[in-house]
Amino acid sequence: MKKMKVNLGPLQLNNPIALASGTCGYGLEMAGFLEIEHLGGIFTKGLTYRPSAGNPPERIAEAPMGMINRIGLQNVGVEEFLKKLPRLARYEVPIIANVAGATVLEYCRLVERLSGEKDHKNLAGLELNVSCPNVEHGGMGFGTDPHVLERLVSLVRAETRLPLIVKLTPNVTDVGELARAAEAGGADVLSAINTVTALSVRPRMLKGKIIADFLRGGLSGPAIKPIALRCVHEAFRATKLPIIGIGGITSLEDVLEFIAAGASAVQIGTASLVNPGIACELVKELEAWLVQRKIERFEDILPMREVFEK
Amino acid sequence: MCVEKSRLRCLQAPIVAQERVAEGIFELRFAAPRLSHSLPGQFIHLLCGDSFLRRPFSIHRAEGEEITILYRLQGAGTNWLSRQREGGLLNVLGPLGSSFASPRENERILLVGGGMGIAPLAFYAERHSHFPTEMIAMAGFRSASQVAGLQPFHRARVPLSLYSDDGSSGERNRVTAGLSERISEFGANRILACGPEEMMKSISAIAEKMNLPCQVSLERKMACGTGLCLGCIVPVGNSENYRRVCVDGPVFDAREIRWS
Repeated sequence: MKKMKVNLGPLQLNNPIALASGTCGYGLEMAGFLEIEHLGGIFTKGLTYRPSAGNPPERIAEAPMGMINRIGLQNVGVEEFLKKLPRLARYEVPIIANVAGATVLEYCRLVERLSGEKDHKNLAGLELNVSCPNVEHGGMGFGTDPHVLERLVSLVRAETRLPLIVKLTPNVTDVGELARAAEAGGADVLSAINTVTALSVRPRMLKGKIIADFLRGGLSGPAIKPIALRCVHEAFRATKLPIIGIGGITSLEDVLEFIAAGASAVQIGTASLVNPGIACELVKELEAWLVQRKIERFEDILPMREVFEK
Repeated sequence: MCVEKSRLRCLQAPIVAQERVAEGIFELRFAAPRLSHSLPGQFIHLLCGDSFLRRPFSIHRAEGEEITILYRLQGAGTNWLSRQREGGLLNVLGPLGSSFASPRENERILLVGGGMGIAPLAFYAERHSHFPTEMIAMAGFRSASQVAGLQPFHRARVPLSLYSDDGSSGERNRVTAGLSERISEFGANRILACGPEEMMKSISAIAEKMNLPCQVSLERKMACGTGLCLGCIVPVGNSENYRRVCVDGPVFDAREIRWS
């Protein structure tokens, strides 16, 4: 559907509803649940240069209206990932690789490998996961310090001509400052948000004392939607970059809230873990919503930045 | 564009009956013609009221257009489920996961279940009751008040030995206590087990020692049930290697599992 297309700088999505990294495997896995060709795009599972086994169990805990995970970037590594890409090509859906690393060098090597002449054709863009601990800086997330983030983005930028999306973390004081740093580093698009740092506590008694099983990880799902909306809006006001909204979207109303807050597209994440077909249901609902209002093109409804200028 | 033949969709399935069958244990039957091809060992994933994530339940029976599950009250999700009545709708995803290997002719299969672990084994016994294979079952429970889910064994005429922790039902012992002897007496050439982790770990060790093939059905905290989230992993092999209980399992070859 041409009227559903959305342009985010150099990145074009088939429609504004894409699948979020970490909740849809490498894309092909979704064929059993929905019409892949109807999706706006697919952001694949967080990728590192080498394969990674991820964290040992336990990895998940339920939370009110959400879940906490500490999967730990389990992934097949870049070489296996590249072998999967040609099989996705027939769906004609933009594939965006979510990339991660423990050091700046690791990010750069990975991005360089993904940006080769041949692979370039099968990839529509790269999404930089900057929530990983930076081992050269005491495990602080790359996305929490504006100087570290700007440097990472600019060095990665130098390795690729693919559209570069920086996925912002909400675990900072000032999202706008980090959004500006990503823009200064050369990002084409921002996506927001990654998971919110959280703790699950399961108390039990041992010899008259209360103790607990803890699970520290990232909270996702509808529980974080208001936080995500705030971050999207702050990023929207802080930069000129197009924004992809992520965080607890489960309905068309949620999609419209993110669009109104400043997002030009959205990603469906944890909701796919409860209803694996939900993203395509939302695409149909959005299309019907546009038809009902006689709106020619989805992009026509995007808010003008001037409305929000102080 | 090729069309995927059987895309998995969430179903709205009407409840046909729900009954409390033992202390804190319920049997729930719902209509879902699309699940009639479910295999013993597979599970369904249910939305349970306000709980955000679905809850996995082993299939206890798939007969005609109806699916039966057997479950114990464990928390908010199962509490909600136990309050649902005939005619109410369940949001069901399934069937999911792997199944126990079908019997081969003249095989002698020993089924060992503990607590709610009996559910998929009873399904196995009933589904394969007309196949030329010999089956016997051993079932362990905490006490007589918790005994449930055994009718399919009776219907399938599969001989059953009962065990309980307090002796109030069958022999006062663990199912694993006399397992080696039972295996030899019966001449078992395959074991299928489902129940508490410790029980399956012991059975797996005994099976390995006696060089018998053994399949176990594992339970893990699960989010998606569809292989996407990588939350329900179990360590396998010698090195840092994991498999997903929801799609690679829940039924595994016991030798594959690295027991903790």
